[in-house]
Amino acid sequence: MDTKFSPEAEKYRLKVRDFVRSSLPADWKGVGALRGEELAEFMVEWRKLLFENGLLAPSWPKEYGGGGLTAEERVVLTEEFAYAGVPTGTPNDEMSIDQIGNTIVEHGTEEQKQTFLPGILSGEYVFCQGYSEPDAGSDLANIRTRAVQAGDRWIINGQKIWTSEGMHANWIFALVRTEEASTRHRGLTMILLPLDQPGVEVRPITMITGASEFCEIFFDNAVAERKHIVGEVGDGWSIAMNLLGYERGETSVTLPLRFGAELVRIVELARMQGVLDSLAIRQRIADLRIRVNAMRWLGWRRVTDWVAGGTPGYESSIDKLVWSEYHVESSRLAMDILGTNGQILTGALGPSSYCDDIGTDSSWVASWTTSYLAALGSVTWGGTSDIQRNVIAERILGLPRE
Amino acid sequence: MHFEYSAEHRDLQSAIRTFLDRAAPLATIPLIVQSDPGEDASVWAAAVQQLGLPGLEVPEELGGSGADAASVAIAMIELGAAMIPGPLAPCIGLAVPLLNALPEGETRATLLAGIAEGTVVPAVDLALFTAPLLAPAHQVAGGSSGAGLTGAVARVIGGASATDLIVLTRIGNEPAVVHVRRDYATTTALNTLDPARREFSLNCTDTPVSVLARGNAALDSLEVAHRRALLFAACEAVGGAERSLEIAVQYAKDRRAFGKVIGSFQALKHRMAAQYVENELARTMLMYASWSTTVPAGESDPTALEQAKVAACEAYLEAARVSIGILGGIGHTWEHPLHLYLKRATVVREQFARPAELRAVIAAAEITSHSAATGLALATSAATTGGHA
Repeated sequence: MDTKFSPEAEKYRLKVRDFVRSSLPADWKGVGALRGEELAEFMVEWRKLLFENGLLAPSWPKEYGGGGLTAEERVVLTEEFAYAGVPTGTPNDEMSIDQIGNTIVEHGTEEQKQTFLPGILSGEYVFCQGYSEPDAGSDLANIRTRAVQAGDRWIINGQKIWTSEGMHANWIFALVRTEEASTRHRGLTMILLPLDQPGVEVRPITMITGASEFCEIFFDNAVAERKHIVGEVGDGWSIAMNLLGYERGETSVTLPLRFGAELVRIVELARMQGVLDSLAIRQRIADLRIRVNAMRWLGWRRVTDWVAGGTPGYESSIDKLVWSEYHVESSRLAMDILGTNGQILTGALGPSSYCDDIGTDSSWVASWTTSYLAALGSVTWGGTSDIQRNVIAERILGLPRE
Repeated sequence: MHFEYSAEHRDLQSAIRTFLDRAAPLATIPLIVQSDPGEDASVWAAAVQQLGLPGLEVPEELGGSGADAASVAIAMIELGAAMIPGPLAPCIGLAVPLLNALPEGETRATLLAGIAEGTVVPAVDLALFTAPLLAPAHQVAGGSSGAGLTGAVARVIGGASATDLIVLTRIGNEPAVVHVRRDYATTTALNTLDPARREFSLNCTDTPVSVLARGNAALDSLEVAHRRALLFAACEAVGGAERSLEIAVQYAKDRRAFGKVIGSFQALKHRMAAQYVENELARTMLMYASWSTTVPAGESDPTALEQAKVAACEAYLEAARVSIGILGGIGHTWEHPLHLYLKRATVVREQFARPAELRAVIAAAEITSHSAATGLALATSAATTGGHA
């Protein structure tokens, strides 16, 4: 057993550390310390820096402006960024770079690659994901948004919902039904189209946290070009599923680092609230530490598999189930520690969709309440816990379908 | 990064599993447990001859294989999964690690060599491995040669086949680890909750002993023994958790009710899926804890063993409960071996240290490690980053 990365990857780690150190102010605490205007400005500058240093798209081949990094180097990169409390991109970059970007790299036409890839990196194209619909969430195959061919264009009618960061995007990759009488997985197509057109309306949804990171998108005779179909007509389901496999930043490896940092803040919170000596609180802290470590070391097993050439499979259902349910527990402990102090929202909301970032002040009540409310959501988005348990039971344990 | 079992470990696992499937298949276990000796002596003999299993960690110069704790962990997991009654598991999980940790000496060497040969079947005092270490009422008096032990030793893990006992006692106010020959002592079989792991109490009146260690030397050895006991428990738990769930999953694929295979019902499916996840996490914690025994202190999380023991034992108890539930009525009977897993899980969860105590230790270490007092303390902690500087 070897828990260290290869010498090449460790050398790369030092390069990344140098980059991070030289790019950030000496008193940098982590992006979690920034809010509002300051945060928005930092994100623009940071992304530009990543773009200029070829660090925005680590998994893309170099010929398309990517980092061309090995699996280990990609993990090292995201680890170092997690330690330093800096993001690997904007929230939309998960969709633009990892999801549709990698899909275009693998399945796109030469023209699509030339058109979109450089523009995604430069920020000219900002994508969001058009999958779920009001009647198609867990049961995604039930989608109804229709696309009808009209010469060189496809006319789209329907609605998408739960589109992450839709209000910050200018393009969408949408899973639409192109075959008239088709049902379920058949007759679907993946198509790209601009949001800025008369037939498209983007409406943010106010979520339980008070933030509006999800949107509804209405298509009323929206127009897409035939050349912007990714893969073949009718291939949509497999393209769409494949796309979901392109994970952001090897989250199963690096998310535990952020949860570990959150646990440090929870302990600090308990200290501030004067309950750190409580035996009951300490028992729960111990259980959270065990869980964070289990996630972290399970992530090492995943890296081991990737380095050996394996591709992510159904075990990603385990990872998602574990971290989302974990966050419900950890955020609940924070609320328990706060008691009635958790009812007056001081400090600022967290911006992150996983948990608040390194650098967040442990005394910001609004950050804890956001995490608490958002954690419940994380058990639902990205495949509900019940769906994940179905996948584990059927695909891993081999139990029969209902 | 290669955080997975090595090819050697996988070969060892395979060899042991194959041996156990043949030598003591699960269907025979309830019969063995209910028999008078409560063990099958031929399994010990075959384990000696075919695998050198009792001597796995005995030093090579004493006739053993000189394997490390991580390799022993592989064996302990398999023994836990197979629910093998008798002295094999406590020998490799408790007795040999304790003996290896004791100061060198003639008695120690004789015992270790005898274990490797298969002629010595050790039985160990539970108190040796338990934290907090408690001073027993019994004691050895009369000096350290021709010394005699007087008093009652409450719980010794062993059965009919045990030949040599290792006991925690006192010499005056000093702790002492002593060897007692089985044939010198009066033993009384105890009625244990776990029928697959027999215990007896010991009644001594000036019974001759050999002192293996006393005072600080004893304390040092016992510290090591306790930590190895945590590993032992975690290994038994991971093996038992995985095997009991496997039994339930297989049953759920075969059994029909309401016109369907019961494994297709979502409620059952979800219980088994959730348990599978807990088992995977427990296995992962054990992999790390096992690995941590192979690197110098300071290069790994200092409470790795405590964490693995807590995680694995919680998983085991829940797995046994879930599995019995899946099997329905038959799971609650002696007709099926699953009850043995439930009883083992119940027992091992409390042994060697209370779960609440272990959590308290883990929490204290967590809180102390934050002395850097910033989220970036992570970057300075070698413990969770696999040794990167």
